[in-house]
Amino acid sequence: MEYMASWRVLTESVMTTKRTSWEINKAVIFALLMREMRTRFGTYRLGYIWALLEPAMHIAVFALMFGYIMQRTMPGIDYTVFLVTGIIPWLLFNSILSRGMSAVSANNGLFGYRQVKPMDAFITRAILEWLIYCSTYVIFLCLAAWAGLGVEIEDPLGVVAALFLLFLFSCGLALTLCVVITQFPEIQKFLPVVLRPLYFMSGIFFTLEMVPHEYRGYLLWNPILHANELSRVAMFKTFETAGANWEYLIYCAILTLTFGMMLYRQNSIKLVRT
Amino acid sequence: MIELRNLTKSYRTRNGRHYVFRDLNVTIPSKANVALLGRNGAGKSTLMRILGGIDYPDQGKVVSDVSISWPLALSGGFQGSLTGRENAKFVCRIYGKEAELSSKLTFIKEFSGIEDYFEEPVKSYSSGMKARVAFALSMAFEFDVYLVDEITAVGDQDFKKKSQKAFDAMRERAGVVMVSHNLATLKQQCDMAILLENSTANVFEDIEEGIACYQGQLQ
Repeated sequence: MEYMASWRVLTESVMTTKRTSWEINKAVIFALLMREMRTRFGTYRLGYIWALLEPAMHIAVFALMFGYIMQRTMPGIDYTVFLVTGIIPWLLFNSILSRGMSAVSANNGLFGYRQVKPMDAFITRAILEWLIYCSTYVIFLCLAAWAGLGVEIEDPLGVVAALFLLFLFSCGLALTLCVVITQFPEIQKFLPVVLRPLYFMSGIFFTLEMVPHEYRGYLLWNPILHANELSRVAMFKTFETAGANWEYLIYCAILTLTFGMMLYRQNSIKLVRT
Repeated sequence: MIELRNLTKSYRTRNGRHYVFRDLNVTIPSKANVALLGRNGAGKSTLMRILGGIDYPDQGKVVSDVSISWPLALSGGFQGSLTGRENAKFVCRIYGKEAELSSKLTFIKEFSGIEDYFEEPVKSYSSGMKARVAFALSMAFEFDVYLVDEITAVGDQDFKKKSQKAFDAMRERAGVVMVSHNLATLKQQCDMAILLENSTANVFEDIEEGIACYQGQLQ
């Protein structure tokens, strides 16, 4: 009986005012974010530490392999810091791609609630990855500064701009793939095959200047390389890029994002399978 | 009132287009308790999903001035790795009930009666426990129309009694659209019927008549 009483009180205030779409959207993304955080980190014993350990391992490997030689070729730039500015953006790209791509299929059960749309699931994952890797970036720079590696950011806004454009580009690509894999799930199998070589062509552990002239043109098709070079120009006083430019990165970001959203708009109904 | 206007929904199949509905026109009055009848594949679930706003018709539209619940099914979109509480929290949040979160959660925990299991991952629940939480969750929100997909009469005797009482109270206040294979339940709880067949719908003001027609169709 007391249930009935409390039920009356509880439900009286509900559904009296209509929310605007913006309010609904905010509420849904917040709810999804809380949920994603639990599932993203809750399962590992190491939890949030894992977000730091992964880039740390990449950095350690390259620092050990090339650290000594690279330090000589790039005077005024600490190679460990250099690696931070390459690997973390790559991991941002990589995890937005893989997490964003599966955002819809992983949350399929939730689309039974009319407020939750596939785009919300996608945006939530993109926001979460952005937050994770931005904080990782800052933490690593702080650690490097604390270790006395000489961190001086020449143009902080430039670094943020380059990272954000890379983020938008990754989102566009991930959204496109997210829609496409509902029709062609095979693509998921090919993706690692494409991503692996891309890792070595994105200027993560080298600069464009170290690449012979005749090959630079090919590498410059890769927007991730542009993002990495541009963020380093903004980061280090003495760094100069051998061909990366803002326009290309901006065009890539706008183009993929527009294309991804177009595909989504056309197929959004088909994405939900219940 | 919920009004379905010229609703057309089709799926592509290997043998061309299959029309689930063609120019469906139905009006569901407020506070009506409606049984959705039809053979398997007649479009009962599709109609439920369209009413619930999670699927869309090819043409036509649903016009309503009432709040409609999510389709209350047995397991209701729970994520296995999260606890009952976390799953319930999610639903409260998407309905914008952040401020009443703790009172809602207390209610859901009490009503479901699963006690400490509420703090355990849903994947460790039995199907009965899952259904209890799903039912409790739906009772924590007030809608004008509830979409019910075989959710009543779950759990043990004790819970059945409790949920029946809550369900009856709800039916008095709000409308229900119900799908069930148990005709006796439908006869008892609904007062009108919509029979889906051949891409159209027949509305029966009297539930008995609707069920009789449906049974006649089965033979």
